[in-house]
Amino acid sequence: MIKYLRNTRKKLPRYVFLAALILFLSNCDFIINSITQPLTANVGEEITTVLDANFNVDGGPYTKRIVIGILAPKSWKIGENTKITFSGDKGTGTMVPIPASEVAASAKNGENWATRMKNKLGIGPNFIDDMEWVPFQTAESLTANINEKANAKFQIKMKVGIDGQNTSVRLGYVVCNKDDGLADDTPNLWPVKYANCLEVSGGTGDLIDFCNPSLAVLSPVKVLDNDFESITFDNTVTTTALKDVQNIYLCATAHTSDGQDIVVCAQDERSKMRTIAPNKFQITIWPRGYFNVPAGKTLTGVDYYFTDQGGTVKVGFGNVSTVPFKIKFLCD
Amino acid sequence: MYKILIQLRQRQAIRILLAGCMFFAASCKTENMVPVVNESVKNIDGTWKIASATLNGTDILNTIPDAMTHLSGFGVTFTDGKYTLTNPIPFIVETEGTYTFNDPQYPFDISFTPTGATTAVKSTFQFPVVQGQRRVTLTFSPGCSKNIYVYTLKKDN
Repeated sequence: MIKYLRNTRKKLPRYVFLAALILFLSNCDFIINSITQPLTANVGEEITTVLDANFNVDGGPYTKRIVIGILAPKSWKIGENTKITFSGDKGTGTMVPIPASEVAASAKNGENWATRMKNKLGIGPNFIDDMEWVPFQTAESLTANINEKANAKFQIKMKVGIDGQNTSVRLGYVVCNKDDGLADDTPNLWPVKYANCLEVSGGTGDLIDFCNPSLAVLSPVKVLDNDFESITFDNTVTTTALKDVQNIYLCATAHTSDGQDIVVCAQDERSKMRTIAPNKFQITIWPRGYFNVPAGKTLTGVDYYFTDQGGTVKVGFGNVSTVPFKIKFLCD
Repeated sequence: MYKILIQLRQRQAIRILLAGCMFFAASCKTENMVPVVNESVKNIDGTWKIASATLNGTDILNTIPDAMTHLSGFGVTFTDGKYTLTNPIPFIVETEGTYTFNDPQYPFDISFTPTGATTAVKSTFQFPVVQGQRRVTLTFSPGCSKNIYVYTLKKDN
């Protein structure tokens, strides 16, 4: 027994050394040093973002393509409106979109790059889930020499707000290599950063604010009257007239395409919202069924308020009781 | 010596015979050994209820109260090329009519034509076996095309 212990003690430094060596060898990492992006833009304007990244490898040499993913509102169609070039220690080059048919490295269920990024990173610090990750790759593979620490600056030129809508959003950027992708066990190989809030103005309609929490959130964001629609009332965003009220109801008026209104505003089981978190309430409706729309008629939109059980205390758009929240039944 | 030679020749003869047999066996037409079975025509007659439902990849059957979605009450009944619906919810079609497969033996999609409509609405069709029972999986978008619904139906006994 004593002999065994002595042996182990003798071997201990060797194990420690080996463990340190393994740690040292697996110490590859990619770092996004900075993102330089304007804070304001006009709808349809081309902005330039500079992403400065370091690629530190241990061992090697490695020859791989570099991948960049950009998180942006779906309606901006960033995939069609973006050009990326890079320059740095590995020379200059361009990046091209990764086809949707390509399965992502380290994908669990054969998902493509866009889906893999969305599953792994979600919508970052944004509040409206109407965004997509758009993947790009270097047109050619790049070689990192043994233990090289390479720097590259990626110049991303993209047209923002091509949907013509006033928007504020925090765009996201992720960098990885094409072989490892966004592997669960190597987060050091896929750094992700979100830019400060970008305000896109000069368009039409109410501001679509991805940056700040809103009282009412729709999911899916874009629906027709024949979709399920979940409406969430976040009573924690600010102090509302319904502060501390626990029984919240939906009071809604639907508009048909032939100019009729259908009102469902009774405070009953049908309009009662369920509690999904402290002071957060949600209701899921199928508008055609909820408003009992006759066959052959379609709905163009719904105006709604949140009310208490008595129906007298109301919260609407902008935290006032006189302006309703609105759903427009439109796709893109 | 002579005896040994004869024995060798005999063995050689046996070997040649065996090799010949093997050649003969190998030359049999293998396709004749596979029983000829016609792929069955897929029969989905009966009433089907929802076993699982997702919207844009998110489970909506177990995460949202049924009182809001009414998914459990929904049923679709197929009989002899016709279908009827009970307790409608967002589905490929809203009213009853007829259905066809692109191929009755190897169906990959199913087309629904509501009565009075001139055009059919198509859904991908999968017919997997789960726990010994057939399921029907339909993928469709009744509203905006980016909202993808996947319903898996099981037969209502």
